[in-house]
Amino acid sequence: MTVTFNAFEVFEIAEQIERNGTDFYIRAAELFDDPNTCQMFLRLAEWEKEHEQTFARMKQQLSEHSRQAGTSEPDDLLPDPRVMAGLAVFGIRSDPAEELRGRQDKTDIIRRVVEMEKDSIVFYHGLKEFVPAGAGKDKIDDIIKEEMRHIIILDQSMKQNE
Amino acid sequence: MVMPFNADEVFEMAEQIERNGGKFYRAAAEKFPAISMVLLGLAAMEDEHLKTFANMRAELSGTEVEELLFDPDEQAQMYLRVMADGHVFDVKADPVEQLATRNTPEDVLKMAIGAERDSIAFYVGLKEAVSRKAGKDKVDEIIKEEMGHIVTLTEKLQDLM
Repeated sequence: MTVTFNAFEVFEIAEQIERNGTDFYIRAAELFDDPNTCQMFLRLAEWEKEHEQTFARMKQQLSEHSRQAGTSEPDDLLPDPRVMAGLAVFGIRSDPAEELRGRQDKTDIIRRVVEMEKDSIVFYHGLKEFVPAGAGKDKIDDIIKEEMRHIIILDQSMKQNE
Repeated sequence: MVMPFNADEVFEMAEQIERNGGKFYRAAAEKFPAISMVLLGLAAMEDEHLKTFANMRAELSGTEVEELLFDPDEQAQMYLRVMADGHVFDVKADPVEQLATRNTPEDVLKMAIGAERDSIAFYVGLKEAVSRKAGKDKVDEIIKEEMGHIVTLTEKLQDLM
């Protein structure tokens, strides 16, 4: 049986992705004495926090939109929820503390976090396809671009470490 | 400093991703007959994507690349370069060799989901980097189809579990 999601649940997964990202970066920052590395992870944590707030606001707007439209369920905003269900595998991840367990090496941590950033880019691209223009497609686009920038920053840091 | 990509290199890499995909799915279908129908169907779609990217690349040759790229701050091109340099996405790895360590259909499906994820992550950057004239919409269509592959693979995995 295929599990499907409604639009609220999809935004909740997006918020959870960002919450996990923030927690992961804060914990990663705690592992390093080097101020540059520490600062990079904390800056990334701040950006993920801002993304979480953006998704929370979008979910709120979606709720208002469906109330104004007189519908209690916003499922109609997701024409094929199977697709988001397929992509949800990239959003529903384990506890960030668990992810960091046993990882001490900076390159190893950055490699893991780049995988998480790729997961989020793919999930958000799917999310963007299923959200109507008025519901903030552009904001999701901006977040995707910022996640791409995170990968560039992480890659540069990984290369400096080599 | 990350060097930006040129359009020819970008499409060459997209072709390689699709070539790897087709090769992987065919080898996996041979190894696991129980899921071969699904895998061969996906291989055929990857072949179509390869043709699309090859055509896009051919159309680019002899034209002004600057007109075709739309990425004023070059961020998308830098992202593509990072994705391509092997640190975060190893397009040079032989997909058939990677298959050797997968011993169950479930393992293969999980690996395929990861590979589809990587290709979408690359194509999202490609879509940002190219103009409508260079085929932004075609890249978008391919992304949608790759998302469809993830759905197919995820559903097949759920059936097996």
